Amino acid sequence: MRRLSLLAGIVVALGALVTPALAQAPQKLAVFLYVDTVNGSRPVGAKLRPLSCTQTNTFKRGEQVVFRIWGSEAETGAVLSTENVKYAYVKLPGQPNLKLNWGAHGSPANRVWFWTTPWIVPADYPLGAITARIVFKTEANTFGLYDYQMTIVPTTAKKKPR
Amino acid sequence: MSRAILILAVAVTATAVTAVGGAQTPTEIPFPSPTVVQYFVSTQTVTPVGELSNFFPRGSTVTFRAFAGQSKTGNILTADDTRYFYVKLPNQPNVKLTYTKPPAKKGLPAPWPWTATWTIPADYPLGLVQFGVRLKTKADQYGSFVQIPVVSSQLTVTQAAR
Repeated sequence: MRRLSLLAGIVVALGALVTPALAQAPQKLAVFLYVDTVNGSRPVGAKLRPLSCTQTNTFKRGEQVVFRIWGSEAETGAVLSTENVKYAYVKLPGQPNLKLNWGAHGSPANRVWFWTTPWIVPADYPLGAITARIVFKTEANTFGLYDYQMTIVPTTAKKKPR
Repeated sequence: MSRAILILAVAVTATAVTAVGGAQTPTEIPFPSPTVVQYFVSTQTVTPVGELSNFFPRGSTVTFRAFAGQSKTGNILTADDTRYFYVKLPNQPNVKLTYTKPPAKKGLPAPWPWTATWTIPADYPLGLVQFGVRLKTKADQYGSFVQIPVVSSQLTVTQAAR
């Protein structure tokens, strides 16, 4: 009987340990974020694409990535701006953090403000899938986090002259 | 003499007023609006293999992926809360977004729990597609999404590949 109780105790304890690992993903957020990337017009080690500022998450080494982000504070509904954001940055594997800037974009007749930062993919940056983490901290000390998936591909090899 | 002083004073005042006017910062127009009143809604267009893009040839399939969260509570929108959530396309029937329950795991929430697909008709007009996304909850709250007004990053239909 005592052995049975001990066994039951172990099962309950194990169950308690396993439950947090199976916990649901969060069902609410303090800060909502939209994140995308476009190709910038100033690549350093790659050919300029025919059109800049088109949405893509696949970049060659040497191309310029531009992160574009907008969002809001859930509690107040206020859109994130320098009025309510303490700091905001993009964290990339093996790179210094990229500070996000609040500024105007679009044609002069239709300019809107959102957050951006450019990044040149280094010539020796590891190829394959990477995750950029976007971090916002608000003046109300709430955080917005977003994991953004991208793919880095090689620069097209130059043909050797004959 | 007093007339000269008066003219000088007017000139100094005019200069000061002009200087202040010239130093003004441009009016900030946060995207999508200064405040998200009821629901934050974000949407992206991706290819069937999940690559971010805003250029799609006629006959190809656009996958819309979307997220919505409630202002004030921060709750992430699920199918249980929703009366309708769809993509509105010019001259096309509305495309209903479908909810997929995110996998049970800790960490950040699934960025895009809602998806829909649209196969571009062979005769669909070429060029920009000003799509919008609309939602209404069972509690009669609303949300909507419009594209960032940067033309080269907006959904565009191109000629079918030959």
